Amino acid sequence: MSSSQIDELRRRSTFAFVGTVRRLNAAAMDAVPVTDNTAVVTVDEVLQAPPMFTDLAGSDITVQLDDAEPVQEGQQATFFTTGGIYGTSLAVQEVGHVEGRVGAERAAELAAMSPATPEHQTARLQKRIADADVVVVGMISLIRFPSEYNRHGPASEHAPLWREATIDIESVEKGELSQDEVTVIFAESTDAEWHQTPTFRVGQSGVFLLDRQEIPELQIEAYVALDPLAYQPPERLDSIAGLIGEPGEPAGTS
Amino acid sequence: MVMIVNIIPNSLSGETNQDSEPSLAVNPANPLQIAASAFTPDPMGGPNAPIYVSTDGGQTWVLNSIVPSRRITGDISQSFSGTESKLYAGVLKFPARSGAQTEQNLLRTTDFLSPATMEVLKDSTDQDQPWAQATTVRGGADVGKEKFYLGYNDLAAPGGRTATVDLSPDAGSVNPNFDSIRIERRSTSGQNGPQIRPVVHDDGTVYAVFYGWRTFSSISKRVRADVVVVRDDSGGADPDPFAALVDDDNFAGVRVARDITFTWNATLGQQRVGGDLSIAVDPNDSSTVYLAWADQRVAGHMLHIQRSTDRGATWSQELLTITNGKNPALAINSESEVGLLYQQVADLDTNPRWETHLRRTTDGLAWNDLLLATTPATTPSAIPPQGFQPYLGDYDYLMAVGQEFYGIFSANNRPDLANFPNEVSYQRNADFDSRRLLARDGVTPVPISIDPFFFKVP
Repeated sequence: MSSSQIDELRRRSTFAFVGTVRRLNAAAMDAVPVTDNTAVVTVDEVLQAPPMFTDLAGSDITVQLDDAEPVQEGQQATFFTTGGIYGTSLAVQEVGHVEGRVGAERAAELAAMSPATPEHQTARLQKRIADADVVVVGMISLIRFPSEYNRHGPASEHAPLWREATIDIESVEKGELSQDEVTVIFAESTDAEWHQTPTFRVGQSGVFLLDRQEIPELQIEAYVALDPLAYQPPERLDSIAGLIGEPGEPAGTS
Repeated sequence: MVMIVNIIPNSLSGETNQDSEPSLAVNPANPLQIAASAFTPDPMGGPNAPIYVSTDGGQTWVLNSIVPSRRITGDISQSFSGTESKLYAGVLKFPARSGAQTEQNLLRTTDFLSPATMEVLKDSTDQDQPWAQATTVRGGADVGKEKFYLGYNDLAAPGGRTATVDLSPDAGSVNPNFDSIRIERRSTSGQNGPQIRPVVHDDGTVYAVFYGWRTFSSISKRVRADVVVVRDDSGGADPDPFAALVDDDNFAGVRVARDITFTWNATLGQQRVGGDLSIAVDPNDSSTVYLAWADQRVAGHMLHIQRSTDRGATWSQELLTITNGKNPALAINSESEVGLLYQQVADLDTNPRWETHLRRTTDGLAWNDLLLATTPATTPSAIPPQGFQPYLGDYDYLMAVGQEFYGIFSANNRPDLANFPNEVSYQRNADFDSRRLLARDGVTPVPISIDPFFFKVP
């Protein structure tokens, strides 16, 4: 399998591990329907996983096998998977596998890309920077309703509660902005749909990584701060400046 | 003897999600099969959101990621039709697709235990709070057909009459059609409230209740509303659907309570409030129907329980009122016993606690009281970005199959038997002596959070 093919598997998976196939047509917990595509696999080594699943080495889990490349009992492989069923044990859905154990360099890459690792967080930030249309350093000087906002519009639990913040610009780190201030739309809602997006207060300073997009409800195109990483505190400026210009790599799951 | 189970699976012992706003479905054809849901993300950040499933009557649970939502299960309600293991659901996908405030899917699976992603039957935008009820027709020309009702608030509806019930008369077919029935007939403030609750009887009677919002102040967030009950006697197929009840203003829909008021998005015990509704029909007599609704009084956020014995035409005085109550859920079992699940903030001003009660009555007058949980209302925090609304849920759920009541609620998950006076069992690792949650390794402490709790009462 080529390096680019492995990269593709990595991008599509959220849980990668080296495992040994113990039993085909079997499952490691009762809740999983046994089919021709289920197998019990012993996790030999976790390579990439969310923090809650990094200690699975030595455990038997169920893998819902992809049809593309069969595996044999006793075979060791590096499995790239996504989640599926969680009970007393796990059942994961195979995206693909590589025979045997991937090389040490690749294993280190995978480990570094596990969520919550510093490398993963840097990669996420790097992607945010790459995706952002502008990156500015500044301070919030004003917050108000967008002029297009219908304050008498429908009341919904999931309404974003759009607000418009004016940022006094100290420097433009990425993108083209000639003026000394920029307005940005953000969501003030605490609803589950919006709670991870940043909210602002007057006097708040930092680095703002903004997208230009259309907001149909307001019938405008504007800069928005709707990504959870759209705001970074001022002490992160040096690291952000260092990342600007570097290509953003998909960071996988957050 | 009540059975209360924290349904977070053991393999997720380390999780700290705010698993709020629970919903429940028990398969009437096989009550060992149960599907639950909450605001729960896929633990590995995968492309689907999960539901909780049990095949042993709720004693053990696993998480099955089969809901095609992107980050987390948003508002979700599910219902078995009673045909084999078919499960229907309405869900808001979080986040919605670009440009839409919300995105609602109507879903179906022929086997809720399968790892296959649920089938999308309908996709639309700008709706809220889907509420699913499915059934299998037991007699007549349509015998064997599955019907799927989805109550929801359609903010895209014309004319501000947003209370809507989608009905598919043959939901088990390959490409089921859905009729969107607007059940509000009066003028509104521009919309109805988000709670649209249909309930179905085997004889074809269908009731639905909603808040008819009459005025809404965008400044004070004050809502003035009627509590409106509508009825259809042919499973939603009357020529003028849901118009069987007519009030003294000659509009369809009986106003059980008129000109009640509450404040939209006020908070109670860290949980937002903005209306509560539940309705249940007696399986032995479709003329008898119980209703729970909420408003704001000087004494606090109040729940009110009323009953009709003439198919919704007239209503009793209040049978029960609950101060600082939230999330009422009514059900009636095969013995015509009524169950009322609700959550209530006790000691609001000193040491606020969320109490979860199940009360039952056979006559509407004498209600016994089973305290399922009493947990701190101040922890964990609902403040973003870690916390969010709904804190416990804009609803919970109770249903009856045969004589048994099945329910679900969300609460602070500290493993403290003082918080669960009628016992509780945890699947996740917990040390009740030290009152600590533990990770899968059985050693590492885990912070408290909000978990869903299933219960069953014979």
